[in-house]
Amino acid sequence: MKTEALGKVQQVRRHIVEMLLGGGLFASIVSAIYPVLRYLVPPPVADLGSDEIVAAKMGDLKPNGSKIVRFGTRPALLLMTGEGEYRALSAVCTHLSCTVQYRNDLHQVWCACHNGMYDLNGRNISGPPPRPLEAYQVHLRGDEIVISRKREG
Amino acid sequence: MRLLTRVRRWLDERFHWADLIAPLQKKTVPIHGLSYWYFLGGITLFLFGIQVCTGILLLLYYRPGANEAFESVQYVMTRVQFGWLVRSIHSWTANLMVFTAFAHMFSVVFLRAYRKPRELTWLSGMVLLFPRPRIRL
Repeated sequence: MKTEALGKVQQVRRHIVEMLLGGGLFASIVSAIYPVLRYLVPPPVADLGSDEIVAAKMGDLKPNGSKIVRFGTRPALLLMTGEGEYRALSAVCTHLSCTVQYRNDLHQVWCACHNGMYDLNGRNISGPPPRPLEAYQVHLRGDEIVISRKREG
Repeated sequence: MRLLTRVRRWLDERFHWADLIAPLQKKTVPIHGLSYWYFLGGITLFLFGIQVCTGILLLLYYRPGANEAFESVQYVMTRVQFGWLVRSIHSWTANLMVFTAFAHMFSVVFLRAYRKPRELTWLSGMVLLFPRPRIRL
């Protein structure tokens, strides 16, 4: 391309065309990149969460036994009381998010990090935890033990 | 543009790759090859690239598994910004790619482009066609 061979008018015209082409190209690249960047930003609601999971089979747990299961992205604690009743709680300590465990010697839920204690309904009874653990619903479906989030309203 | 040329020259002085790139820059195609049938392979490759990119993006939020898969796809569609767009592009592209891949294959069959010097090209296409994952989100 010999730019010097073109007249001044042609030069200006070429400049305008180049601007338009470049602008169009830039706009189409931005319109492709922008949604991707917005997509990469995690939404404020971190997790829609599983509504329910099969936590265990009948007979997996003995009275006074417990099990940590995955519930969505977080751990949940399924335990059987000494009377043979199932309870399910969030296993994330409300203090600093450690994973809590069932202490079958104390019949309480215990957080190993800072010695926090919860009762079997998830109420915080001693130590640093500021709030009770979220309790989940437990029901049986055939021989499967299903835990689910309590729905409000 | 001038900056790009300078960068290219600077790199070429060090790596001497002009000869390597030259055959990639210009490929002579027979005029009768410039029909729509000729582009189907390239379209398939382009769609495959889109599949890879949107697939990687979906991996950020998709969770496999019987309990979580449906929930996580709903999450992508309703909560994630532009999640509907990424997933829809992924889904539409998947179907389109299967279509263009088969159209490409039949065009090769009917134009008899699998003959001598291209037998291995045909075979490589077959190798690519059959293990193609058909799992769609």
